[in-house]
Amino acid sequence: MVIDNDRMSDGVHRVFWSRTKRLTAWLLAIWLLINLAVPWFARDLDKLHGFGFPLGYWLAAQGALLMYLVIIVVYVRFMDRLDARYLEATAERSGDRQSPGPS
Amino acid sequence: MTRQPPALEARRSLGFDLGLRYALFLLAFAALIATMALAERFGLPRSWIGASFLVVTVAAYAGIGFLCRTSNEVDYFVAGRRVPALYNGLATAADWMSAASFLGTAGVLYLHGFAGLAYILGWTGGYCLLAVLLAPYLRRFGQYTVPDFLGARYGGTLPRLIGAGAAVGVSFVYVVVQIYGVGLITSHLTGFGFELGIFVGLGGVLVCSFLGGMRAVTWTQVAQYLVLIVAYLVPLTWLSVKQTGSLLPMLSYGTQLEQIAKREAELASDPAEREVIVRLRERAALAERKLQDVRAAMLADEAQQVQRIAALRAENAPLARIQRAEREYVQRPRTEAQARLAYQRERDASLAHARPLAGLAPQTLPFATGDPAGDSASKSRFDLARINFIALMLCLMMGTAALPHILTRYYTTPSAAEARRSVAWSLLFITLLYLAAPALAVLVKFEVLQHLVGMPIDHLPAWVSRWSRLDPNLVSVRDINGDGVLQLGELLLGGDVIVLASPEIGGLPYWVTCLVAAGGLAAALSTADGLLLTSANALSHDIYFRVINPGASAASRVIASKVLVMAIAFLAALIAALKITDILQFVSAAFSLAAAAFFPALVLGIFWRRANGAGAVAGMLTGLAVCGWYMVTNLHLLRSLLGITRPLAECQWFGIDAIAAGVFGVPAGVLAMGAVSLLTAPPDAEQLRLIDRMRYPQADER
Repeated sequence: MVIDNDRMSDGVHRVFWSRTKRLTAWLLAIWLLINLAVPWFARDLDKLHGFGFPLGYWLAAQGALLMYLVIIVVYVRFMDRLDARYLEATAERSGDRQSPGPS
Repeated sequence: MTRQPPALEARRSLGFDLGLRYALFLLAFAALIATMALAERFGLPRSWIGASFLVVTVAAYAGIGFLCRTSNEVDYFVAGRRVPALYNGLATAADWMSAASFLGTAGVLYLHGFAGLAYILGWTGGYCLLAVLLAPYLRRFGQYTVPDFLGARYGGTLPRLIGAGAAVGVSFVYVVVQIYGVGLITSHLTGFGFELGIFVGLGGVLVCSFLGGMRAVTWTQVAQYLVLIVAYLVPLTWLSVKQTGSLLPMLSYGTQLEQIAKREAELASDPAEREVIVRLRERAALAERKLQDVRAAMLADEAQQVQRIAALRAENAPLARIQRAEREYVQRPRTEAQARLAYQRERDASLAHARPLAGLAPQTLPFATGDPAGDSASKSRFDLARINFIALMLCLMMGTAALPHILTRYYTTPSAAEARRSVAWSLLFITLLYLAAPALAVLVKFEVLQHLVGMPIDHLPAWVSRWSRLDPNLVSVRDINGDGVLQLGELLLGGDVIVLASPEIGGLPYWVTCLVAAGGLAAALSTADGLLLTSANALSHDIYFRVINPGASAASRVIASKVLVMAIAFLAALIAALKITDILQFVSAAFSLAAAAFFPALVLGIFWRRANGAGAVAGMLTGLAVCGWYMVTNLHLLRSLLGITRPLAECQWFGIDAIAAGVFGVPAGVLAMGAVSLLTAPPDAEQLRLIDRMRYPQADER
């Protein structure tokens, strides 16, 4: 059922996928927090001002957008690292065997 | 299918080569702008400047399309899968930002203030979902269309067919609106008729998607992004330098926000504004009285008009005034139904304008319709506005991540890692425009509140009369209290003209207006291209090839898609030429429908091994049905079309607006999909292998 019957590779796969899921869940949790908190508390945040902007308005017009960008950049960075580690582990294990899923 | 990733070096040199070409393109565009600026100074007629911008840019897009023509299958459907992340990001940004984004967003913010930010947040935040839940996995799956994925993951033809149907439906509604926008802009820019404008613009679209499919569309979209972002930032920066001396309006428009808040408070207590409001309420009451007996009111109005023309003639009034009175007489409503409609419109418009600040929301105050510290009615209005804001935002986000024409773009990168990077680039380029939109809305509002309001009506700038002649529903001025000075309550400024008229409102030269129009055209054309291709491919690849004629050769599939692109384009142009303005309602609806149809099936297909075909079919149909039902019972247009008389308040769930129907459709789809999947057999071995292939990186990927 799983890609490969090799037990060791199974471990590598499991670690990769659970780390991916954990990263995804964390980032989505932060994303959801921004989405709910910024509009919900906008009136209260507006009591703070900076450079002419009420904070709640600034967060919804600009701040949140920049945070979304940071979320994606963090995801790209971490996934690149996870990918590399995974590929290293699978390459070490097998010289001749195919990595999962021929296309 | 061969999957030889190009060597890193080759990719780098390709990137360099592309960079050089687009740098040259930008230079040529700058030269065009400079030429037009000079030509205006030397007195070239305005229509010539407009036409030059139109012809030169559309010719450039068509040229790129022609150079990239192809009949190769992989090139045609997914641009050969060698579009570098950065360029795919640029192309996605152009694909994504439609005429409505470009021309409409700042207008929505101008009119509705904080409430409009739901669109800004929804249309950018959706890219987080796209990045972490969909784009890299779909890339690793690596076929041609989104229904392809549904077909392979869930087996059988039904999931694929539902997916293809939803993709065509959503894309088609959207493409009609783009073509409508193309017609509007070309007719403004050149003075062609609306219908001719549609077909000229259509030519530009067709050369790309017809000749070169995804490959041509991709490279054209990159150029179109460059045009549209320059066209948005030039007037914004210029206005900002004029008003505050700052070159970075996105950082510095806070000072103007403070000015606007001050001015809003002044206007709220201005006696002349109050008088206008009283007069407007009187007008509304008069229209209401006329509605009691429409027949009598019609006759009375007619007699009054005849009398007025006679009086004007008798006192030897200026010819223009007599002619205007005569025109009004000729255009008077002829039937009782027409008259009733006219009185209703008069009543509603007057009431809408009689609200404080002429119905404009305070620029920054969130959920200004209510007050959390006020009485219980005002408190519940506040909570309702807040809930609706969040619901709409979440719907737009899920819809963004589920729109087929955007998802397909991530099939075109060389690898899953590039697809992830490409989402980051996409969001960066999209954010550039969405950070600018609130700033533009604020600078325009400052100009209007500070300079325009309070001007003598006889000395209003020329753009006011030019636009009101073009379409009085967009711009009009009536001296309601007769003091000869413009009050805010006497000015109607539609949201759709805010961007297009911003250069004139700010007193910039005419070529800037043409530049903005060219940018709007680029936004409309690029989105139309992507949408046309997506719906044609869903029909040719997923329905014709996969279901009707699986033996079709690659070449005949490409030909089928090209024929369909033509057919869909002409059908969409015909519908757009009918000028059904209510169609705009369906655009926001398209997001909810896309979210309900695709989001659960795509995401669960990747992250939940147990999800199976029966579950996916149940989920998609339930999501669509719940969404559709909510819209039918709540959207004004559909209610009146189907004669639904149950009061709106009873049809609403938790007071959520119809355009956010996706917040019910998506959870309903997830529940149905989960329940039916668990009750039926688990997916077969081949489907499980596909899941694994999508989840884990492959050695040749990087």
